[in-house]
Amino acid sequence: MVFNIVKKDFLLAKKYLPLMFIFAVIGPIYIERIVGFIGGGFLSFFITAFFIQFLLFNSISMSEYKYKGALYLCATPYTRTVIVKGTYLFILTVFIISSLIYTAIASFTPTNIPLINMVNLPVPNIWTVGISFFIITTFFGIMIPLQYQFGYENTKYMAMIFTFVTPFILPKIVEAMQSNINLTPNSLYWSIAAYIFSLLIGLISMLISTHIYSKKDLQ
Amino acid sequence: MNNILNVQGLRKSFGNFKLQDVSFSLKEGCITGFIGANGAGKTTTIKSILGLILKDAGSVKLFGKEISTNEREIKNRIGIVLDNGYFYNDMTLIEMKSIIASAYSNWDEKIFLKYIEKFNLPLKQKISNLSKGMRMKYSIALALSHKADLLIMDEPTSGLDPLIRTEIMDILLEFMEKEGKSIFFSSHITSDLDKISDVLILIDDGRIVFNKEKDKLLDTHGLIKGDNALLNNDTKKLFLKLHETEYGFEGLTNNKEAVREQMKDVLIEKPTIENIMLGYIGGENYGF
Repeated sequence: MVFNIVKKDFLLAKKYLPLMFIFAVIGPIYIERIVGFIGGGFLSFFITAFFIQFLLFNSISMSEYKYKGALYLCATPYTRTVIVKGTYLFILTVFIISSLIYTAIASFTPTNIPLINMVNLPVPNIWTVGISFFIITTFFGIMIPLQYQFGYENTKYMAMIFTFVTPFILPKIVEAMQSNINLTPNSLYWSIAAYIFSLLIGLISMLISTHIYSKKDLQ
Repeated sequence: MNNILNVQGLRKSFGNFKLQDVSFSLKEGCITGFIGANGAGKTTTIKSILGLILKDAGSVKLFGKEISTNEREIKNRIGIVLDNGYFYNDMTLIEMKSIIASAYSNWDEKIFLKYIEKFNLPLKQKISNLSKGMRMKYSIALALSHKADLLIMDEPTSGLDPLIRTEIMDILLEFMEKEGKSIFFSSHITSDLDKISDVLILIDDGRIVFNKEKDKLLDTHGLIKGDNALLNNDTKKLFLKLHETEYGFEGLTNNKEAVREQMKDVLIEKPTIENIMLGYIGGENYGF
């Protein structure tokens, strides 16, 4: 049942999927050209994955707000818990897909095309994926329960501000991290910790969202 | 006949509106009409029954089980038609169907395709391009394709032309031909319920006014016309609503027999469901 909710989300976002695919292919190369001197491939990976997820999530939230389809789904054997789980699984699925596309692009980027051959797009390592997953999970881990509590209309501005500010503050954060904190980016322990904390945050957030949604009147 | 739905002491407050101790039950094998003016509480009651709106108090049992603890099992046996459809309009009919069909354990694709053909619905078309009548037919096709035992419909005929309304009534009667099926049908268009309902429940301002068999209602109620001279303090009490003019009076009674005994030379006509509904709601300033 949860997979059908994920399918529903992909169907709702279908008109944006070609655009997102193009962004997933071209975005990393462009971003790496602009900010590749910091982050060792992290920024291009993170920004690509985050924006794809954010834009798809936002388009789905907008459709849900517009059509109130969840009300109909909840009148069928789909439970509210399944619908909430589906939302989180969708975010995870999009992250995995965008990671795979990025990895494919980084692995097979042709080196004989002008402009592209100047870019050294590194294949994301376990740390790059882990820390990106952690930040993205934290963002959606806060965003989704807030949206269930206050609704799409009230939370969209918050998300928009965050989205526009992120590209400006993220390089600073990365710089600060690399210069001030004795953190080896490729440390296996830190990478594993990032995944574990991400899953914990996701799980706690999902429980909170389930609780919030179970108390909502759907109308 | 078994009760397939039992609502007891249902309460829900929404700002200025509240459902107040709503209690009623539905019999298996019956079409129960749920009537009332706009804003009387029909949709709120239906949404509360389905768990879409959380009740403040009371219990809702479907097929003898509490819905809150047996949600999937119960909803598998219910077909839903909601007033606005609540479809994802950007999806095509077949896409929306694929989501809904997956929810039901006994979805029957053949039945669904039979209705699609019967209603002449274009499966590859976007839902947003459907007319109101087609949306309703699509909604009914989805509701009837998983062998539901109970069909819950919220204002299914609202805004539809008489031809489509008649077509829908025929489908509902066809659904009822199978044993053990029931329909709970809310509407403010009482002429539809005149044709097909067995039982009528009237709700007004969040309270159940009556819950009676349609035939008994029509037998006991009467539209009475006569001379003003026949009215006195005792006979006036026989009327739910009474309009007096200089040419005579017209009133609605729920005690036709008493009127016959106490008021000779009056004209007694059979009321419509709408007459009866309006006789109970709206106060003295409204007609019937």
